[in-house]
Amino acid sequence: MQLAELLAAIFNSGMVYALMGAAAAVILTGIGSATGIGYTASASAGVMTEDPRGFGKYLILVALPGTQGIYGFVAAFLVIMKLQLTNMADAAAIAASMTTAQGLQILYACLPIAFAGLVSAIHQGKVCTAGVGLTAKQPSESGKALVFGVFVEFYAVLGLIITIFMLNGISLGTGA
Amino acid sequence: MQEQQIFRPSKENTGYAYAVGRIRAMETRLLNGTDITRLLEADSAAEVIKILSEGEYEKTMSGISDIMDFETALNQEREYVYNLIDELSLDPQLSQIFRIKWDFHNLKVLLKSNYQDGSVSQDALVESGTIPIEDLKQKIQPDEEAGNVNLPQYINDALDEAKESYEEDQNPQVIDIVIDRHMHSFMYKSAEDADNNFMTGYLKAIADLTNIKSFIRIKSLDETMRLLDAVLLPHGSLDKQFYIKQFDETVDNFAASLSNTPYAQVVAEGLRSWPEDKSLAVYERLSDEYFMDFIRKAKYMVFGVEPIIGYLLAKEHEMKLIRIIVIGKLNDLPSDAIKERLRKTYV
Repeated sequence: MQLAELLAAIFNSGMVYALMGAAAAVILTGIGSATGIGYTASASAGVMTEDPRGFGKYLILVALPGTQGIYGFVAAFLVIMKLQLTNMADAAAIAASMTTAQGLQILYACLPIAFAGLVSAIHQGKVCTAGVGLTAKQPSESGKALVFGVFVEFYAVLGLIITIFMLNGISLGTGA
Repeated sequence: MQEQQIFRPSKENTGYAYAVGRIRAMETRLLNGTDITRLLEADSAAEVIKILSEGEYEKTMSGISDIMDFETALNQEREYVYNLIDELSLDPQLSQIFRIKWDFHNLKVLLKSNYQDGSVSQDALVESGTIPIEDLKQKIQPDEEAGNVNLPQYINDALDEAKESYEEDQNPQVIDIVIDRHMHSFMYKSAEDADNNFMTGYLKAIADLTNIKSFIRIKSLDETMRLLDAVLLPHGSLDKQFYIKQFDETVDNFAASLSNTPYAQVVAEGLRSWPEDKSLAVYERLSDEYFMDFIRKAKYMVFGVEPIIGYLLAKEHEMKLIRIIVIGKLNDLPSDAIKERLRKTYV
C-alpha cells in the first residue's frame, strides 16, 4: 500500500529522471567493465593454460577494467542516499517536492561516470589484454603493463569526481 | 610504381583473446638463438634429439631410440600443432589451407614416382594433409577393385594439368612446377576468401621472391621464356608481364628495376656475390629472413587470427631448422657449415 503510493509519487515527480541517471550509471559502467574483463580474463586463461604460474600478476590486470563498474555503483549509491530511498517516508516526502528540473539535474550529473566508465573500461580491457601478452613474454615487466592500464583508469576517475561534485552541488531543498 | 606491401591487419576480433593469450605463452617456448646454438654445438644427431626431448619436443621426441624415427616424430609434432590451430581458430577454413599444402606435396611425390619406377619412400609422404594418401594413390594408379575416389576439384585440376604437361615434355620437373603453381593459387584464393590480409600479404611476398629467384636462375641457365612463363607463380605484387618484359635484360638491370619494391634490399645483398659464384644461397637465406620479418609483425597484435598463423609459420620454420641440424649432424657436417644454412628464428 505504502509502496504503491511511493511509486506513484516518484512517477509524478522529477524523481523518475534522477532514478534514470542512477540506473544509467550502473548499467553503462557495468557493460563496460564486463566487456573489458571478458577480454582480459580470456587472454589470461589462455596464457595460464600453457603456464599456470603468475596468477597474481594476471589477476591484477583482469581486475583493473572492473573498477569502472564500481564507480558507477558508487555514483548510483550517492543518488540513492540523496533521494533517501532507504527510508520510504523520507523518499515520499522528497518525491512530493521534487521538480522535473531537479530530476534532470541529477540525471545529467550521472552521465560523466556513465559514459567515461563505459568507454574507458572497454579500452582498458584491450590495453590490459596487451599487458597480459607482455607479461606472458616478460613476467618481470608486468608492473609496466599495469601502468599503461592505469593511464586509462585516470579518465574513469575524472568522470566519477565530476559526477560526485555535480551531485553535491544539486540542492533538493524542500523549503521556499 | 608497384603497390607497396603495406601491412594491413585484418579486422580486430576480440573473440581471439583466449587464443592469443595461449599463443603468447607458447611463443616463449619456441627455440631462440641460444637454443639453436646449443643444438649446433651438440656432438651428434642423437644428442640434438636428446636436448630437444628435454624441452618443448618432449611429447614427440622422448623415447626415440632409432634416429630414423626422427621424421615420424617431426610429423607427429606437426600434427600436434595443426590440431592446436584447429582448436584455437574461429575459422576452420584458415587452418585447413596449411594442411592442404601437404595434399599437394603428396600428390607431387606420388605422381613423380608413378612416372619413374613406381616405388615411393615412406618418408617423403606426409600424413598431415586433408586427403588420405591411399585415396591419392588410387586416383593416380587406379585399382579396378577399389572403386572410384572423389577428390576435391583443386586437386583434380592440378593432377590433370600436371599429367598433360608431363606427357608433353617427359620431364619430371614440370610436375613440380605445375603443382606448385596450383598450390600457390589455391592458398592465395583461400586466404582471399577468408579476407585475411596477413595471409595474402605473406603469400604475395612468397610469390614475388620466388619469381625473382626463378627469373635469375632461368637467365643463368639460358633457358627459354616459355619455361619462365610456366614457372612464374600467380598473385604476386609484380605481375607476369613485369618479368616477361625484362627477359632480354641483364640480371643487373633486372635487379636495378626492383629498387622501388620492398625486396630491394634482399635482391641487392643476395646477389652481391652472384656474378662470381652464381650461387643463390645468400639470396635464399635473405628471403627466408624477409618472410620471418613479415611473420614477426604478428607479435604486436592483440586481437585477431594473425598471432595464431604467425605461431604456426614460426613452428614450421623451427621444424625446418631442426631438420637441417639433424641431417647435417647425421652427415658429419661441421657446425659452421650447418650454421650457414640456418636462418633467423621467430622469437
